[in-house]
Amino acid sequence: MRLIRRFDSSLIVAPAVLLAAWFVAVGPLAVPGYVLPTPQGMLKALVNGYASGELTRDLAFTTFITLGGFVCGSAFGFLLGALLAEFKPLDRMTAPYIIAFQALPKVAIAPLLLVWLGFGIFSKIVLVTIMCFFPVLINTQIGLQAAPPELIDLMRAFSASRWLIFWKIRVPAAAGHLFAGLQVSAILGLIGAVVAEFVSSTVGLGHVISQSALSLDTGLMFSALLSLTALGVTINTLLRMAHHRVVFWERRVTVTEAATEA
Amino acid sequence: MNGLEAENLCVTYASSRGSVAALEDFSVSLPRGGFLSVIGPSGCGKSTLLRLLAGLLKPTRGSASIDGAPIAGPRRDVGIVFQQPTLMPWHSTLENVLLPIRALGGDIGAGRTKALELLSLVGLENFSKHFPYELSGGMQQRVAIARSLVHDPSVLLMDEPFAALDALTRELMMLELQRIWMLTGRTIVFITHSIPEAVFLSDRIVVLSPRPGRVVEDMTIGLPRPRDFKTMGTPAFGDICNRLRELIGYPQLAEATA
Repeated sequence: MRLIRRFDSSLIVAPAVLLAAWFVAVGPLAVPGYVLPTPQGMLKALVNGYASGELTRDLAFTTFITLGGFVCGSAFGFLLGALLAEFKPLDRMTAPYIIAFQALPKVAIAPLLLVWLGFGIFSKIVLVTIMCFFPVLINTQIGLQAAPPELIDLMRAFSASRWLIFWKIRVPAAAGHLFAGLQVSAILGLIGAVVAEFVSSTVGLGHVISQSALSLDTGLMFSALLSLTALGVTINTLLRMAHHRVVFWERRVTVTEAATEA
Repeated sequence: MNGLEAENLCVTYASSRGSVAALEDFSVSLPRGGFLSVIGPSGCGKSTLLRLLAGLLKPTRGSASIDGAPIAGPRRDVGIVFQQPTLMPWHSTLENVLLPIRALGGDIGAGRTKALELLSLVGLENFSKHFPYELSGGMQQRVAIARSLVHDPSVLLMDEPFAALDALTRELMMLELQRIWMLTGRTIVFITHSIPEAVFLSDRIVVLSPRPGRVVEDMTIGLPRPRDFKTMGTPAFGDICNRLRELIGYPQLAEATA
């Protein structure tokens, strides 16, 4: 109920102000159409795009590479994070490389991936995968080590196997961190998808944006931006809901906590 | 046969500034079903002792046995209660109590019956489906006590189990623990910082010196059972407490004024 009431005010007032400012800008202030489309112009481009199926196809493509890379990157991130948390020597050996790679802005290797993996969908999914990998890796590592040491001692005192301790204690204790990592990586994944499409693509919302910039078609560009926002908000909302549902016992771990590590 | 037997237990940790002795020549023998408290200033190796007895730590020298069987590593006949309840927040009360059975690979069906029995022993029969965050601190610690008993351990190791509770809950828990101990007849090793708590609960009290922990005194408490809050007002109770204060407090006071 609280959620709905909060939505009411924020969802009506803020857009109303924005829309009013927009009308003023394109009306009395006469900002030219190639800088800012009219609201009607954008709406027309949006409706046309989805009616003709072109924007639908672009949205589907971007969604696909984002989710594909997100799933792969998160899975790899969790696996390596778990290995590093469980085997300390491995952690010490790999730490310098991981720190170095982490410091690198991942989008910078998009052109290299193009050279190595080609112009197809694969190179794009790989970029998203790399983007999604690190937040999950770091949060898995931190989360798995956050389990109460007494609980681990207790399990050891009962000669519980490492495997049992891992699944019964460490993973559930890490769940909150893990979801925080997933939320960060989903956002980064979407960035990766758009950059990959900027660099080379004939389809996707990123491609639509770079093309409409060349043709100064801001109406279409705004339609694509709006679609991207909707996609990002949807993914984020779904993850937040899953977080609340799965990690029902702690409702305080927030994205901002994890975001600093990304 | 003794419930707990320790002979010249020594633990030295290697540190960057040489070796540090945590526990020196700790010897005690406690009959089966006895209640032993270990008391001493911070850093006297009380927790080291507990880890030793749980089989989580190997002594540098000396040996210990439970019911005649030497402690050589983790063993299944020991129950542990820590200062914090350390429950799994993602599991119900019942599932938390069942943890030792799951860890040991025991029969879950029989374990469940036993767990429910123990939950009613600690007065939480109506809370088996609740989650830890729905319980108060005292209730959580009772769940931890039920958990420590579910696999029928011969010895219960308790590391300052009431230290994190408020004073009122703490007094109630003392009564509770006495009742549970008298009903179940377990050998209990109870580590504490509280003199009245130790006197109230124990048959025997071992006083350790500051690091490295050495046995300063090993006394038998003959106060009649069951003890209640009136016991705490008796002169005999006060005398024992004062004697213990002298043993523990004065060396430190002397140090502080020196």
